[in-house]
Amino acid sequence: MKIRLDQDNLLLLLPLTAFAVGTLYIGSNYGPVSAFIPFWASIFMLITCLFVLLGMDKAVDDGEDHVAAKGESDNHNVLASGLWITVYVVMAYVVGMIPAAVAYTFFSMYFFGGKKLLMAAGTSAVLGLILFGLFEFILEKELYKGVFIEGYF
Amino acid sequence: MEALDLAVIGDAWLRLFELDSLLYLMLGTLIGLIFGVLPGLGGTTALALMIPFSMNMDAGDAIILMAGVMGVAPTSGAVTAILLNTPGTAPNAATTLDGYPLAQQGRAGFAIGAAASASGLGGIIGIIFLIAMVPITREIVLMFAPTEFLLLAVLGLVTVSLSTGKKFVKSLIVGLFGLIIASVGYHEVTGEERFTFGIDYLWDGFKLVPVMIGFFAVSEMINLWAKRGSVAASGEMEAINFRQVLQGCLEPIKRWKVLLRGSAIGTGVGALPGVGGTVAAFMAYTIAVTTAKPSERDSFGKGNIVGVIAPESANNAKEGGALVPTLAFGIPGSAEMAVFLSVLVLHGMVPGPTIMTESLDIIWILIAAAAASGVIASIITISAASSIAKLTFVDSRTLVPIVLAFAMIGSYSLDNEIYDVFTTLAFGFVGFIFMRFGFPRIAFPLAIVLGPLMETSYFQTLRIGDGTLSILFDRPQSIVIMLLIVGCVAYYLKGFLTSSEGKETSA
Amino acid sequence: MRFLTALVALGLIASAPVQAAFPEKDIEIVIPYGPGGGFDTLTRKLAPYLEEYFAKKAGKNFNNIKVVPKNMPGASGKKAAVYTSKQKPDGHTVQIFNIPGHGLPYIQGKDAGYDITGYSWLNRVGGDGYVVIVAKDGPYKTFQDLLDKSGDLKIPEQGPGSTSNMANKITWATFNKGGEYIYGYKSSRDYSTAVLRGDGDVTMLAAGSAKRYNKAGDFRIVAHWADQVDPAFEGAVNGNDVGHPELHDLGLLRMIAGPAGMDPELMKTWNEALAYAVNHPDIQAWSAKTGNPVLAYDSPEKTKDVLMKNLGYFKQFSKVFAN
Repeated sequence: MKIRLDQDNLLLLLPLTAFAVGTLYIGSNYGPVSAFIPFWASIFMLITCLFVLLGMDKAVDDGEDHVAAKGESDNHNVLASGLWITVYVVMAYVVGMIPAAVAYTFFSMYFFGGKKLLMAAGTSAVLGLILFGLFEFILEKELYKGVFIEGYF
Repeated sequence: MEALDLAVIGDAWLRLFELDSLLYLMLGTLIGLIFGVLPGLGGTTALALMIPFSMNMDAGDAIILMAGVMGVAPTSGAVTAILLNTPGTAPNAATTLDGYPLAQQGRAGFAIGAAASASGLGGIIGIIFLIAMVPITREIVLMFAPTEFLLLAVLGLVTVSLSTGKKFVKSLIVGLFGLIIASVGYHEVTGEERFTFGIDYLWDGFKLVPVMIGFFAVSEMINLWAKRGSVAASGEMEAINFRQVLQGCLEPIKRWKVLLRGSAIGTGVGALPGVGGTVAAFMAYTIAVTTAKPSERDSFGKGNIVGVIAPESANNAKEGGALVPTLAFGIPGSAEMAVFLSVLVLHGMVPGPTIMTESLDIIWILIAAAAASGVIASIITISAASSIAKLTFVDSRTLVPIVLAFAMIGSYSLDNEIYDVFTTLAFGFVGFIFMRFGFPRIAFPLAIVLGPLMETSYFQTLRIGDGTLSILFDRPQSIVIMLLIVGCVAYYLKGFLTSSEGKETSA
Repeated sequence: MRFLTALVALGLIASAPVQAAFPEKDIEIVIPYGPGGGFDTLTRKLAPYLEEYFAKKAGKNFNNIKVVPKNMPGASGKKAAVYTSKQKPDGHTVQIFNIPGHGLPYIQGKDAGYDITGYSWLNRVGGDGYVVIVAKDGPYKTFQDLLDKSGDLKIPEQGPGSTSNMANKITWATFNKGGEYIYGYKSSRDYSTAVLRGDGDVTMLAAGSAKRYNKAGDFRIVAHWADQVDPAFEGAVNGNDVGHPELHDLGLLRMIAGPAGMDPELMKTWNEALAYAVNHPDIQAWSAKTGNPVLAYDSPEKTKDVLMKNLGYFKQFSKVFAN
């Protein structure tokens, strides 16, 4: 088997290996019963990560799916996407879940999706109504109302 | 045999067709369908919410309502698995392997049709097996001890990693990651806190539902937004019509051997408390792959319809199986059964060996309702399939915010805890990163569900066996399972070696 | 002078007992475990009768107030206990407790974030004594047989914090018999089935549960730690027979309490409400049918007494569950 550093997956494998080492270290300090899974899982994880890191699984997995996955969108798009998804959570935390859902859907559709104003506004409004009806009336579950009403952490 | 008294069985079915019973059945089915489809909610949540309503109802009606909810959840969970690569319930994870690729090819209607019909038929077959098992339920429960649970958990983890074919090492890494995540929290037996770092929220560990929603639904949304377009990357929206759905419906019947095998595995494995659901679906999938013709094996994971039929039939059949330990011993065969048990007790029924003699009429109503709800769910899903499937053509800018809203709200509503939403977001990123680097995520939910079981069973086995694992070799049941594990691995390795040899020479 | 009188009058009005308007809004009963267990079932069963009582008491002023059971599982019951201790003691939040389970930190002298003795103890609702069970077809026919086994007894159990586990440890320690505990079973059903299956030799169950689980006669009850052995347990010995009558104090209590600082009148109202619910013919019938014992006292003071006596009994054995 050829040993060649796996360049493609380096960005993920290094943190994973570090994670395995970390959990191994912390886990081995626990009592014998509690340490069982953390210890063995992290050891195996370390072994398998090194295995992939050194390109030893390439004999079977030629990484074609990885190339395909990466090709679907470049890093710039990915970062923007991650950021925008986070924005929803921040919005939900500040103004409450349902208002955030309505506003977020509207912004996504109108500003990023280029949909017509009526379409975007209409869909957002309907979504809001459905969410409200489903949770507040049918399920009688109170949803998070935002930091001003619920208070900080 | 008294339990199979035809008069009682007949009465149960007649009762089911009374107007108010039908209404309760429809209501339960509808609620189960909606909850199963929305990412984050699910059968167990629906059942728990129904408890207060059911209290004032007559026992038979309450059972019918509950059976309606339970019969449906695995079916609707398949819909999101296929459309959004997001399992509605953990056992539906196996369906994403071939269901989602089909959706990406513009054949979502075909996949949903097959899933719905496999679920409906599988559920009925499961009930039939259940009825056959009724006389020996006690013996079955007494036959399986922690020793077997340990081995079954191992079997589950092994089969799931192997089911990803060439990527099984990467799959294993994700699974091991899942095991570690599952160990976060207070250890019930030793009282030690693992990986909590003094954070109160982590005291009980990560909750399964927010983690799953993040790992699957949110990561998919990040991916979808980044790559633009819609889920269906190829194919045409017009191709999704009722004809496509109908073609899908007929597939399980055409491939009846797969259906039967899947249902048998589902019922059998479902009868084992705790292990049941998730393992059953994956085992069915892996066995379907293993028993397929060598030429067909490569197509799994790329949209082979058998990869949808096998797990979905197992999924619904397992509900029949899960009733075995629940009714015979009051030991719930699954999380849904645990909630269902409480309803039984609230209405004064005592699960146990005597339930067969004391409440036989109620039991048959339950069985009838469960079977019926599975069928109704299938019919509703099939009718709505072509409309639902068109969602795969909705643009990301519209779909993502809507799914995200439901996902986050679903996560929050579990315990009214905003931290759960943060957890969901965090695991969304983690899941996405795995996805991006081509690491199969499928082992993750299984590891989270089976990890604690494996750990507990391991120590129980040690104690029962007086400090050694030799007991594994003393019990015929254990030996059978160990042979299964070895068999699965061997079969796969054989497949590997032959196909990779082929690859090398052609390179 | 008039101003002062007005002030005093205002003060008197402002401090008028809140009780007069109780309940003002929905009442929350916290359940420290998930749905489906004994505590959950009992609470949900009692809730409608509590509503009935409060409705009758308020008469025409009643605003259709609901008594809402709220599951709050987590950290083996600690999460709920901490939550309840932080609520306002206005009678609108109460919790069902597992005694001595919730008292384990107190017994061991550890801090768990809540003070079990500080709550406003309202009433008991259920609870039970303990029995020792083995498999009927197994090698042990009497309690003495168990003591005669060479080596430690293998005992399937749920976990170290459970009351049945404490009962096991105390029992065997009393007879200087060693026990090897197999933890990890999910429920009392599960670990008692384990005994049937042969995973272990013996375990203990609440008497009511034993009756329920033994309808098919698979088990043999060899001991019942109660002054009067229940007639359903033929052949069982009790504490007197084995020279340790103090074992009769071993028991599980299901009790309801509110946060510390509740008004005594309010506590009395709650005590009566709970007694009403528990003694209601419907509940009594359900209890008899399903084998879930229910019991209430006639004052909060008596409740607190029983609690402290129970905790005191277990505290003697704190060394036994030191691990």
